[in-house]
Amino acid sequence: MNVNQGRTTVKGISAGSSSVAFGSALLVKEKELRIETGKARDIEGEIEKLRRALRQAAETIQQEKQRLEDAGGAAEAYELLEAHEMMLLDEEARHKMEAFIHQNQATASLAADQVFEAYKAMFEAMEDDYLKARAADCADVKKRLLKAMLPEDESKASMLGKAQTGPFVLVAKELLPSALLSTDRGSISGLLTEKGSKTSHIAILARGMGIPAIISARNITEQIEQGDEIILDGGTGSYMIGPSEEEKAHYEKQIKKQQEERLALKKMMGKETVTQSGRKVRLLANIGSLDDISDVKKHDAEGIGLFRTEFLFMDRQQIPGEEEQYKAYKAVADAFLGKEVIIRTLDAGGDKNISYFNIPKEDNPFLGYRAIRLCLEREEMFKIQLRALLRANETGNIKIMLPLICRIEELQTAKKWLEEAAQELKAQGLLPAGAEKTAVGIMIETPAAVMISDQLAKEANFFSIGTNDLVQYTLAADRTNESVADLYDPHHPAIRRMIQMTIENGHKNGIPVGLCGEAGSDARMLRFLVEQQIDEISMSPGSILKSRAIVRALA
Amino acid sequence: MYQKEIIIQNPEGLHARPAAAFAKKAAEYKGTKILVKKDGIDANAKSIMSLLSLGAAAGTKITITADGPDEEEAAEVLCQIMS
Repeated sequence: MNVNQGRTTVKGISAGSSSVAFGSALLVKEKELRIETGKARDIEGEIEKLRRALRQAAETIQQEKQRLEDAGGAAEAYELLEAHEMMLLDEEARHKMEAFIHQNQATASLAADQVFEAYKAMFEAMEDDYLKARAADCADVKKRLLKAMLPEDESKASMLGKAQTGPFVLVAKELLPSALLSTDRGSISGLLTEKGSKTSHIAILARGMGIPAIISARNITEQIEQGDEIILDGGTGSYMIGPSEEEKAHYEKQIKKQQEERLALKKMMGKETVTQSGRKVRLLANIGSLDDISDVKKHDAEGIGLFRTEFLFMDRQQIPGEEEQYKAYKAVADAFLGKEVIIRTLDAGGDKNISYFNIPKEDNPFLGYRAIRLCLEREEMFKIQLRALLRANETGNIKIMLPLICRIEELQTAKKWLEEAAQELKAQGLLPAGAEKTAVGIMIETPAAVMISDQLAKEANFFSIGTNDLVQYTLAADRTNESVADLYDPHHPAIRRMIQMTIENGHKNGIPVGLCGEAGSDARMLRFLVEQQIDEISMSPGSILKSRAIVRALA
Repeated sequence: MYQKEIIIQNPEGLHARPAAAFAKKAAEYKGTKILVKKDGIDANAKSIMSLLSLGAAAGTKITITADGPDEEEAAEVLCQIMS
């Protein structure tokens, strides 16, 4: 296909990064993997073949890991490769395959197929979502092994034709993670495939490496010829084959802008978040599990502004014990020594249902039995969480935050229980020095809390405005309901006045006021918050460097 | 033979990362056979696939059995990883 001829913009699903990429098509045809089902003639030969394939596949992963590291890939992608490597080196898996070869006079390829299919089925049958997802690893590892068993010339020649110079957009029916990391392909700017999902390993890798990937591009391998020019827009999920000079110029400009932005963000690492006139604001991260810690560090957050503890309570049969909770809280506190770590007590109910609480179906769960309301009815359970938090607060960097406060009594009861828990621990000799003066703050996420924020400020050590709920409760608009999505507006004057009032009442009483919620990283909101002299803003880790750049440009 | 019963305290349970650390450590005791038992099912402590197949979440009771020259040290060290 020539440039300017029959060009089309087609929409697919974007699964990689949201950037734009330009490159020439590199059609990848994964070699058909062979499983030889006949009887093996040379058993020892098959065993040797299996061992060689295991070694070779593990070596390939080693190279891929190195390449990923060089490319500055994300931790998630790296762990994926490590998991595959361990499966390949696994003692039990190898024994099973060898036994299969001996018992059935089978070939090495059949043994690999059968054993990893059995593992895959085992994981698929598991209840735990994490373990369920390991089934995909088994499928990948099996393919890696079978590929390593192909004769040398076939496994290498998996590309059609000779490649010119990059950057390339890989085009294929489906891609394995190894396609993105194998070392013989020059620079790859994007991926375009017919099959795949957002949670597939190739998508995780693409996101981790900042490469746009468009999946579910129908019949793409038939429409594209080797070397065709392609533009991918990861932001919209659209792609264009054979763009005009004009379109190319337009996208090249965008790509250049992107690169400059990325560079500018990198420069924000280690910088202070301060406006031109010297007003400082702390930018913290929201996290929902221990896995997020490395991501937070990568984006240079100044602490944790919201650690959601729900993950500890979900996908299980009973309430997590004190010891288990203590370990999780301590892990976060240790990871951010010297920085503040705000941990929110259990915010279950609403859309986060936990089966063992047996909450009856409610007509209106967001106005129902949830968050602090649920905890204050379960003294024993809540005290376990409070004890674990106190014990973990060895250096005093943990602050406790209570969700959905509407009445001053709720805060007072929780504080009383915290004090009791502290006394108990002290009597047992378990209260660390840092926990003696553990700060207790509240989420300001209901209009009621805003209206009595002057009184609450006398009891709380800090405020954190939770915009996600505050906006929906104030404007009576469900943020997940598309028909009223335009009414859900964090810039509504009512919300601005509420934020203003909360900050004023907090500062009048000498306590810091922060904000956690998706609205916090919006440029307009950031400007408003800084003008209102907010002390800190907590957001998803990926928004921090960008927000820092915005703040530093403010007057 | 040396045996020890523990309850998994690691919040992630016997998931990939802890399981990997566990299997790697176990593999250091070359001459010692080490098993992890949960609900009557045995897993090879030196194999991550075998360990993951137990599907052991946090709070699960497991028994570590070691048999060989370093049995006591092996069982104690491995218990520490999980608790």
